[in-house]
Amino acid sequence: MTEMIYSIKAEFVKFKGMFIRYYIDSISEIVSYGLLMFGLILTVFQNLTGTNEQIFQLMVGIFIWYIGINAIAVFSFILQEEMVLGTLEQIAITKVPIEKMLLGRAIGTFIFDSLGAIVLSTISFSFVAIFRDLSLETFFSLNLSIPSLIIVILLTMVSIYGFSFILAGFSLVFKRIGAITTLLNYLFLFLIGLVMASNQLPPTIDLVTKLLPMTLGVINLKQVIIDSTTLVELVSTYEFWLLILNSGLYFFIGLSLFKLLFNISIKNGKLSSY
Amino acid sequence: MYSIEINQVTKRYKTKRGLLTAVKDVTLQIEKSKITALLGPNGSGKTTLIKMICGLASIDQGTIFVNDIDVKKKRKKAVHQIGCMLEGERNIYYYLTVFDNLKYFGLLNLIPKQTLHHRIEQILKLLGLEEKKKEYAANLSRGMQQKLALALVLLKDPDILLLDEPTLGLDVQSSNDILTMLRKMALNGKTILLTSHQLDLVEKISDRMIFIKNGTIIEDLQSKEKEQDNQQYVYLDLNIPNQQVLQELEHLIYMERENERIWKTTLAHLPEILQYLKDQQVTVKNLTTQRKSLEQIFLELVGDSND
Repeated sequence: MTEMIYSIKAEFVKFKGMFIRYYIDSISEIVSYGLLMFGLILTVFQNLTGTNEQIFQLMVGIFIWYIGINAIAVFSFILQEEMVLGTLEQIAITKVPIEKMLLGRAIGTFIFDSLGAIVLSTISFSFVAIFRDLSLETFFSLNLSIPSLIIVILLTMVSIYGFSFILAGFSLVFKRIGAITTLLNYLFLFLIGLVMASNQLPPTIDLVTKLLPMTLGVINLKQVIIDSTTLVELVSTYEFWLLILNSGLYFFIGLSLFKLLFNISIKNGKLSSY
Repeated sequence: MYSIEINQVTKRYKTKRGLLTAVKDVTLQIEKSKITALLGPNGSGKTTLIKMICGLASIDQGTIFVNDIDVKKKRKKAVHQIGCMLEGERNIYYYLTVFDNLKYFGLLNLIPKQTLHHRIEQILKLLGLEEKKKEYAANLSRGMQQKLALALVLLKDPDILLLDEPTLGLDVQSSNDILTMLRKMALNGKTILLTSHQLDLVEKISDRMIFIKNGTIIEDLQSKEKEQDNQQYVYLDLNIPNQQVLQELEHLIYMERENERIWKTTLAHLPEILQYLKDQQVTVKNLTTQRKSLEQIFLELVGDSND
């Protein structure tokens, strides 16, 4: 636990430093995600007659997607950058094991990105409210269980981080996997049921999408937000347990695979080569 | 007691051309509180050996003990004894300030916040970086970046320092500063194993020099040995009576002709050479000695393969 706390603190030092040093890039990145959110929401509104719940579910879904793709970036792009800098080897000989450092980084990123996502969501929220001529009270009057929402988001994050560990492991061995992560970003956006309903997909693809790390999270989100499922009701659903299984498996497989690939990298002495 | 014990260690890498043996059956003991230099041409296995000691490359055969801890079996515990600086300044975050670099690695080394700031200030002062603590690492000179990399290593106060090319690319003044600092650290009980191509500087501070070529140790010079007979040249000014004696002298293994009159041998072979010259009725008109430079020893040992 101590290792995790120190790791999260260390990652905050780094994020803060990076954010300040590259502030133009940091701001541009936020603006680009903001534009993407506006674009997505606008498109959905022009083509669908969504309810307030559907809009809220879409926004939470985008929040998860935003956090998810950032997690993937942190686990792969930053790791690659550290291989180039040579700092990854330096990290590997600190007292915090590398997988705990990555997890600390993931949690640090989650907090950091959540703050960003909340700001973006608020802007989008206001935009939607104006566009749909809705008052803020409409959204605050949504009948949803906050504990259920938090649990579903956290469980979904576990699966995302598990998946990110797999990518991090691959980046240690195969070095450049940037194209794969970009591909996954788009795949996730369209296949997890965020902007495209699963019943619009062919059955085989639909089955595959259920195995992706975020899909079951989005399904559970729909239950929590649209169907107003309480925590007690949620726990009794088949989808909730599938989400736990999916998250657990992703995390276990991700961590195990990362350790295996890290050891392969150590065996070859290639932790710093790029 | 030895700080590092390397027993019959071998490391092989898979390459497109098959298995490459980077380190071959190396056995070595590194004494506590001493500076040991690993010298050898590029690709000789120095970095691989250092990486194996600090657990960044696995050991295929043999064992390495760091302060009596088996690196293979207890990597994490062994690594805690070591501070390792690999490939010079390639250990720092360029986008962080000097202070944030130290804070980041300090936290990853589980140094409590109360002591971390004090430790950072101490190290910055020791390395003459206190004026630079708010500067971005990217804006530092190469010498300062190297010092920052060294500061990161010193942060966890390790017993053993492994430094791969700590003076790479530095000017003479910066190199001297770093090496003087290392000398002081060894006097204060730190064990230092370093690699370098700056032989003249290494010679000044090392207690021991190990020459490595093709993954094998080819020479191991303790500090006293540096002064020993086989490391000293003797120049003889000879009066050779006839052509036949001259030809015989030219075939002697331990003697080399420098010019028309001057011949060179080592102090170790001098007694037998003098006896031979006496037998051949060769008169020695003058005799001078000169210690071999480390560069001469290095070139003799590794040939011209230092690309």
